[in-house]
Amino acid sequence: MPINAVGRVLPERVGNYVIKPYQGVSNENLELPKVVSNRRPALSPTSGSKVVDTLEQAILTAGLKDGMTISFHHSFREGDLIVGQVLTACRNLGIKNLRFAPSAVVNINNPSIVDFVCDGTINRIEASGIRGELGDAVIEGLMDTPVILRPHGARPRAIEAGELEIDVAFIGASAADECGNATGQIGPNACGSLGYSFIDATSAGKVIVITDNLVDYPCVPISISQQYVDYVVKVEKIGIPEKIGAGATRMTDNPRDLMIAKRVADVIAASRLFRDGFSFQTGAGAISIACTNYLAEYMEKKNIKASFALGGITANIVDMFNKDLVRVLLCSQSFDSVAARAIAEHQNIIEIDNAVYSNKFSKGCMLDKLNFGVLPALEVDVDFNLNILTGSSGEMLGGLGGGPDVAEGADISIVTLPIIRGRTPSVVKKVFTICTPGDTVAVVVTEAGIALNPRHKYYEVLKEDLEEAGLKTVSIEYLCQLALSMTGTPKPIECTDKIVCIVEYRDGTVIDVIRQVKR
Amino acid sequence: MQLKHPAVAGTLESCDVQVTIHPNDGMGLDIHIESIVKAQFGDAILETVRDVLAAFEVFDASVYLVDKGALDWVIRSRMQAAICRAADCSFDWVRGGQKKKREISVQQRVPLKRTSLYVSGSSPVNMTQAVFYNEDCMVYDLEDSVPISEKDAARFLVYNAVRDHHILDKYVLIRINGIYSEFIYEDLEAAVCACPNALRIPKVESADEVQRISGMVADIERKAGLEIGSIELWCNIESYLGIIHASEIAKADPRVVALALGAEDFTASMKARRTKQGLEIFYARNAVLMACRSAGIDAIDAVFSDINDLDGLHEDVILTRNLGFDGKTVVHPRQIDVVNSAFTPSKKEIEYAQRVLAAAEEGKQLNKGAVTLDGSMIDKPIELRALTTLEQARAAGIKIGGMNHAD
Repeated sequence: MPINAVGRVLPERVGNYVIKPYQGVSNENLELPKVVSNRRPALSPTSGSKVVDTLEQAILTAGLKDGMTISFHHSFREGDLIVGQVLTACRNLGIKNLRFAPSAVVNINNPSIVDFVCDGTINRIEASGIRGELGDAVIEGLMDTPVILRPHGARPRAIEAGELEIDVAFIGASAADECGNATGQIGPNACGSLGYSFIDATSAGKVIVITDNLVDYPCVPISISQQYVDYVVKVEKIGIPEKIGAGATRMTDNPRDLMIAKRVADVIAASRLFRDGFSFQTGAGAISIACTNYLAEYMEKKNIKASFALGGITANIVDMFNKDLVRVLLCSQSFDSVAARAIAEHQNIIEIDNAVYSNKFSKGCMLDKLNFGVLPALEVDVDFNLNILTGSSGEMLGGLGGGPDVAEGADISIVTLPIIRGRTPSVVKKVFTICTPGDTVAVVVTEAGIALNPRHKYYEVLKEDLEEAGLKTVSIEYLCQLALSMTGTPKPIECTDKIVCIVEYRDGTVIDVIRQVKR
Repeated sequence: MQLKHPAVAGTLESCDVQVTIHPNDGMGLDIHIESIVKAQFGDAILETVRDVLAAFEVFDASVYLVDKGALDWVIRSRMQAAICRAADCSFDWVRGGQKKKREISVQQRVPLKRTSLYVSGSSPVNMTQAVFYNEDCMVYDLEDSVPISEKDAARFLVYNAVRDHHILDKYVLIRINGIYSEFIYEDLEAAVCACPNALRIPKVESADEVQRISGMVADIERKAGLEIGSIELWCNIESYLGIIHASEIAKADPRVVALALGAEDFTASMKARRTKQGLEIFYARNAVLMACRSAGIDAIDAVFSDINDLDGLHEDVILTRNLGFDGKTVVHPRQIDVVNSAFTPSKKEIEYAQRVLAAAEEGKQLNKGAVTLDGSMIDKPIELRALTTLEQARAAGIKIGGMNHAD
């Protein structure tokens, strides 16, 4: 059996899936995939309107059949009511064995995706993450075919390469017109950027826009253009505003998280790359939000302005924009309603395509221009490999998101995590699931110290800068030992031979697999 | 040991474990474990439970644990508390403490006392995390933050935390209940056997009280086979009587290394009103300072109570520092960095400290009795102050070039 570049033993194939082992991050010998598309030619409807009365009717007219692939974006997060409605309609129509390929599966409970797997509506899943009930069920062995997990940047690559051909894309929009121009930026259920659905709109066989807010032609702003849209369906409700992200994302008051966040800002401020025109991505976790605030304080104090902030945008980044601390916000996702509405309000706050955000296999993605990327993780090991998917007992806790993309793209990637959570150590000898290769991780920041990765390209520079600023560092082995001295050594998770998830890297190679956990 | 009735110890909060124990006469041990980390640590938890039962010679018991990710020392503490409660007995700290002796690390440098953080002895989650904050001194509390009904359980948590959760090399204190409380003797036994750097005694009002406590500490040290006099004392001065006697208290016993002002109780005893500006404690601050300076010990300023007002804290701690205090008590982790940074010495102070140490060093080399700098005598306190200044600079991340006298 082949061993990949991070030391994982992999089978040659799993069912029909042929495994290409991960070869490392080197750009040499990179093979560029062909670009193919499932997009079909069509003419405007003679009536001038694409509005169809019901979801069932749209699905039937789009020609969705057993075994086909459907897609969604996850920008409504846990407030999403579209996935449930569409899958229910498919079930009502007796359509079976669908491949479910959203940009990510968020935790939706009513109905749960598990139900649609159990009744055979869905039999394959490909996404960046499968949080919640579905994730746990998958790990327990729910699916016959393993779930393929791809980081954000790998999804557009896989779609364009023809590895993930989408037959029908369902695009939820908080406002749309009768011809299919659509956006997420206005309306009662605004979610902000629809960046994750651009690739679906341009590549799927059929595109169905779903909204609860049909507006007069033309719908402005135009995020999804009518030229790609086949049908428009108006439903009663597409989301639950509170769960989409009402108000501003709040700052944590956990002193441990605040300390980690402050240390991240200390590291950034100490770096020589922290200068006028620098760029950053901090994300939306509890530590990230706090870190953004501390970073803003440093910028104000030192009078340094950023050229852009990237990725998932939050209210406090918009606040920095309003204070003139950042020139441009590039939003692939908007994490709260303040960020969601900011795109329509400001010329320099821009909705961007997920592909231009993160796809390495294009003519250039934006995260390659990042100076600093702040990443959360569930586990890190002494080789700096990150696990952002599975928890201590093998349960599915996270998603890949853009983590592996940012780690590689940013000059300095900074991982934040506490060394223990309860009795679970998070700095370990070997992570349970490798999602991000250690070579792409520059710094790990914990409550017990800052560890620099000696194998990272910026190691020497960072070491010098941190020393200059009086920031002490420790070794990753020290952190691991410290964590284990507090918790004791956990018993390894026992797994069967059945592979339940395949974890792809940015280039479509396999960095790890997740096996069924023995209970 | 015979269990007399059922008992419970611990909570269902994160990082804690709730132990319920029942007598199980003649039926042996019956142990049930429910844990969020059962797959990884179920066996380890069981081993600890059996270990504690064996240490108490409990052979018949039914034990039920609901674990929320508690660390081993927390499980141990909760088991010990539950058994003592079920058997209506107190723990033999001196005997129980001999199994494992913590080595007190030799402090090579002057220990900083910029911040001392109170951590409640009844909160495993706070105790677990507090070791990692930037405070110089960590004060595990058995007094005000622990409800009367939890005093016994808190002793176990604090005792085990000091012994087994001593992660980073911090100066560790235990605040015991006051000399007139019913808990004092058992608190002292538990605290001394835990081997912290110091005990913090609340509401000290006379030299006599300090001497009595010091005597009791010596007794316990002797019984437990510990080095006599190794445990230091910090006296909280928190009443008008304490202020009146501050000078005698500061010199009462060689163990006393610091006085700490407690403003809330002091103002209450004065019928004063506590304000943010703090004029009502201005005299008390100076009285404590003068007592400490004349005794050659450290002076610790009172808590700034509004944990949400960091600007107010900053203003307050600048006054603390300008008056001459060595540090300040803090009650919330978010206060730590503000206070620490106020104790960052200026470049001028650092340079002066370096010159003092250089002169002192030169004096030693040349075997001179008295050393002078710029016409002034350099005595031991001035030298110590210089070392502290450099230590504070180092702690603030300032690189000190050339002379590393403290290393």
